[in-house]
Amino acid sequence: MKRVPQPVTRDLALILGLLAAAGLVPLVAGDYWTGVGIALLMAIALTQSWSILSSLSGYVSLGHVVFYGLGAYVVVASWGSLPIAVSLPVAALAAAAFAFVIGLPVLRVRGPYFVILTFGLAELVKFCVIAIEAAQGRASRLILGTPGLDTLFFLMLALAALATLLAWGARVTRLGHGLRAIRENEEAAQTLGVPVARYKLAAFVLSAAIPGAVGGVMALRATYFEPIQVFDPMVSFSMIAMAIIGGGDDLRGPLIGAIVLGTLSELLWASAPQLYMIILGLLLVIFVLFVPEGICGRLLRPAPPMARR
Amino acid sequence: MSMDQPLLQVRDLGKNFGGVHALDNVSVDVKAGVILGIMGANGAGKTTLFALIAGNETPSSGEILFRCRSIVGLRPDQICRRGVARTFQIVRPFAGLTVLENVTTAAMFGAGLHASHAGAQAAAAEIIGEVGLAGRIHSPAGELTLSGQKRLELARAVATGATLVMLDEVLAGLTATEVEEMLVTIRSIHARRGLTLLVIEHVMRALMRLSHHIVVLHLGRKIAEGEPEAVAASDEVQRVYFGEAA
Amino acid sequence: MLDTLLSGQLLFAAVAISATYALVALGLNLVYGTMRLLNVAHGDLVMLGGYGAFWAFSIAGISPLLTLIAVAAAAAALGMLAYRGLFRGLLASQRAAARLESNSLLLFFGLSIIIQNAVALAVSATPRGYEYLSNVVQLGNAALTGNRLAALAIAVALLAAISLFLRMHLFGLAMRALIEHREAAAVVGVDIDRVQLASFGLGFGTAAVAGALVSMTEQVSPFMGFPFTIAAFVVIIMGGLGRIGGGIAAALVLGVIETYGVALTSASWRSILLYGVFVLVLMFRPQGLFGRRAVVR
Repeated sequence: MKRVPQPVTRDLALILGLLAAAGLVPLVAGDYWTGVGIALLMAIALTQSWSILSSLSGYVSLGHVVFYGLGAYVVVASWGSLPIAVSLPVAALAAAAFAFVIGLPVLRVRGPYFVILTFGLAELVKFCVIAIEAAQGRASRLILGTPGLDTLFFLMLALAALATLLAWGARVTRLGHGLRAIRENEEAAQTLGVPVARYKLAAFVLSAAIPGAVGGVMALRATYFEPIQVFDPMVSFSMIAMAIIGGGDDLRGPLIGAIVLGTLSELLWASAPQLYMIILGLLLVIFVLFVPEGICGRLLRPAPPMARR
Repeated sequence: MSMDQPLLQVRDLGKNFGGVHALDNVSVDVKAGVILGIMGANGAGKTTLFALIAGNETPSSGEILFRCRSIVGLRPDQICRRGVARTFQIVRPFAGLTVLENVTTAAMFGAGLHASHAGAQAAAAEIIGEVGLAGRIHSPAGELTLSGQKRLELARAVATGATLVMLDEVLAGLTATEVEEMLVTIRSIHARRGLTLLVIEHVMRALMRLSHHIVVLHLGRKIAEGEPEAVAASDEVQRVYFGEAA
Repeated sequence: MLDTLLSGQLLFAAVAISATYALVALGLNLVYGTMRLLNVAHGDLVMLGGYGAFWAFSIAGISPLLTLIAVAAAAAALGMLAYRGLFRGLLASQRAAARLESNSLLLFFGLSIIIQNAVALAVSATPRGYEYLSNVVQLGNAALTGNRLAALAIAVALLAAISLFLRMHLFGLAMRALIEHREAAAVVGVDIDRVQLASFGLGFGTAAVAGALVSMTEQVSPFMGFPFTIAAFVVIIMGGLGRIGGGIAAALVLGVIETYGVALTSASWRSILLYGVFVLVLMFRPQGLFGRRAVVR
C-alpha cells in the first residue's frame, strides 16, 4: 500500500476515535442531542464525500445534493418492498451509478463551468422527479414504521466513519496523487502519465455513493419526502461551506466545518433562518477571499516541509 | 523492434488548425541515443510537432511510429507510458505541490516503473539531484525561479522513465550562465540515462552545440536537415534566417 | 392544440420572454466581458429592480415605466461602486491565480445568498405583485395586456439602443473591443479602467430595468433571481461569451423552446426545459452555438 507521511493516517485514527466516542450519545443523552448528533454526523459524511472529488481534484461540485436526493428517493420509493438493509446499499449504488453514467461528459467541462453545470444538473433532476411524482398524482410521500432515532443515529455514524475512510483512502493511494496533480495542472498531469479521465470519474463515483445512503437515512428520519425539499441546493452549498471553512485538503476539515455550521444552525435556524443563511454566505465569502485553506490549513498545521494548499 | 530501426519515425505529418497548416508533410527519423535539435522561427510548427507526438493534439494527416508501433490517436497518458515525455514551452508546474511531489508524481505515473510510493520518491530524489534542485526539494514549485522551474520540467519529464524526452525551449529566458549550466545538465542526463532527446531552441548557438543532428522547420515544412554546421551553412536556412542573430 | 401553437398570443409570449432574457443576458455579457468571471448573483439585480418598481408603485403609485429609470440609475451606480471598491482590486490578484476562477464563482454565490436572504429578512419571502396597465389590447387574433406590450416595447427599444451604441458610438466600440480582445484593446489605447467602469454600470443597470419590467407581469420574491441567472447563462453560453448579437439570437431560441415547450407539455415543464437546455449546452457546446474559442484554462 502506498503511503503518504504520517499526518493523514494519524488524522484518520483520531477521527475514527472521536466517532467511536460519539457512539455514546444516544446511550447517555436524550432524543434532542441524538438528533443534533445525527445532523452533525450527516454533515461529516456528506462533506468528506464531497471532498474526495472537489478538494482533491479541484472540480468543485455545486450539485452534490443530487446524489443525496436520489438516495432518498430510492429508499422512499422502495419502502415496503425492500428492507432498509437492502434499500440503503441500493441507494448508495444508485447514486454511484448515476455518477458513473453522467460522469464522463460532465467531467469534460472545466473550472467555473463545471460548477454551474453540476448545479444545473441537480436542479434538472429535481424538476424531473417532481414531474415523475406529479404524473403519478403525488406531490409528496409519507412513509410509516421507520426505525427509531437511536438506530438512525448509529446508521449515520457508520456512514460518517465510512466516508472518512473513503476520504482517507482516496488521499493516500495513487488516486490521490493523481487527483492532486490534476488539480494543479490537468494537461501536464495527463502528459506525465496520469489517466485523468479515469481518475476523475473514479473520484466522482466515490464521492457520490455515501451521500446516496445518507439521503436514504434522512428520508427515514423525516418520514416525509418532497422533492423540492430533498433536492434543496442549500444542501450542496452547505457541503462546500463546511469544506472551505474547515479546510478541504485536511481529513479533519469536514469535522471542523460540520461543528462550526452545526453550532450556528443550532443557535439560529429555528429562530432566524435567513440570518443563518446570511452569516453562512458571509463566512463563505470571507474564507474564499482570505482563508482559502480553511481553519485546518491556517491554524492546525503550520507550514510543514510538505507544503499543503 | 530491431536495433537499427529508428526509435521515432514521423511520416508526412500534417496538422491543420481551421485552414492554417501548422505542420505540412513533415517526415523525420530519430535514432536511439541521438540529440535532435529542432530549429525554426515562431509559428514554424515546432511546438505543434511535440504536441502531436505526445498526444496533446491529433494529426490531420500522417503517421507517428514509436518503437515501430503507431501512437497516433493514443491519449497523452498512454503515450507517456510507452516511453515518450515532453516539457512545455510555458512551464506548467504543479505549483501548490513541492518539487519532490512534482517529480514523484511523474515517477509514479510515467512508464510505470515504480510500484510503490517510496520507490517513486527515491527515484524522484535522485533525478532532482541530477538537475541541481536538491537544495529546493521541499519548496513549493510555484516559488521557484524561472531557471528552477525549467529544471523541474526537465526532471519531471525524465522521471517518467521515458526513453524519448522532448524539451521545448528549456533555455528560453535564462541568463548566459544559466544556459551553460543547463547544457551541462542536459548532456549529463542524456549520457547517464541513455536518452534520446528532441530539443526545440531559439538560442541557436546552444542548439548547435548540443545537437548531433538538426532539423529546420519553416511555416510548417521541413526545409533542411543534417549536421549542425552543414545546416547552418545551407542557403535555404541563411535566407530564412536573414537578420536573425546566430 | 394546433391553433394554440400557431396563435399570435403564443408567439407574442415567446418574443416577450426572449426580450427579457436578452436584456438580462446583455448585462451579464457586459459584466463578464469585463471581469472574465461568471457572476451568479446577476439575477439578484433583476430581483432588486423588481422590488424597486413594486415599492414605488405600491407606496407612491409611481408607474414602473418611470421607476425603471430610477432603478437603472441606482443599479448602475451600485455597479460602478462595486467595480471601484471591490472588483478592480480582485481582478488584479485574480490574474495571478487561475485556480481562483472556481472559487470566485463560489464568492458570487455567497454574495447571492446574502442578498437574497437579506431581502427576505427585510421584507418577507412571500411573493408580491401589483396591477398596472392590465387592460387588454387586441392585436389581430391575440389578446394582450398593456403591461406585456409595454414591457416588450421597452425591452426591444433598449436592446436596439444598446446594440447600436456598441456598434456605432466610439465608446461603445471600445466596450466591445474590451470584451472581445482585452489585450488588444489596451494596446490600441482604450482606457480600460473607464470602459470597465461603464460596462459594469451598464450591465447592472440593464438587469435592474429587466426586473422592473418583469415586475409588471410577474410576482416579485427574494428568490426569483436564480432562474434569470440560469437563463442568462444559457443565453450567453449559447450565443458565445461576449457576443452581443449571438446573445440576442440565443435568447430567442431559449424563449421559443421554453414557451412552445410548455405549450406542448405543461407549465411544470418550464424548469425542466430551462435546466435541460442549460445542461446540454454546457456539456456539448461549451463555446456556444455562435462563439469562437472555448474558454482556455
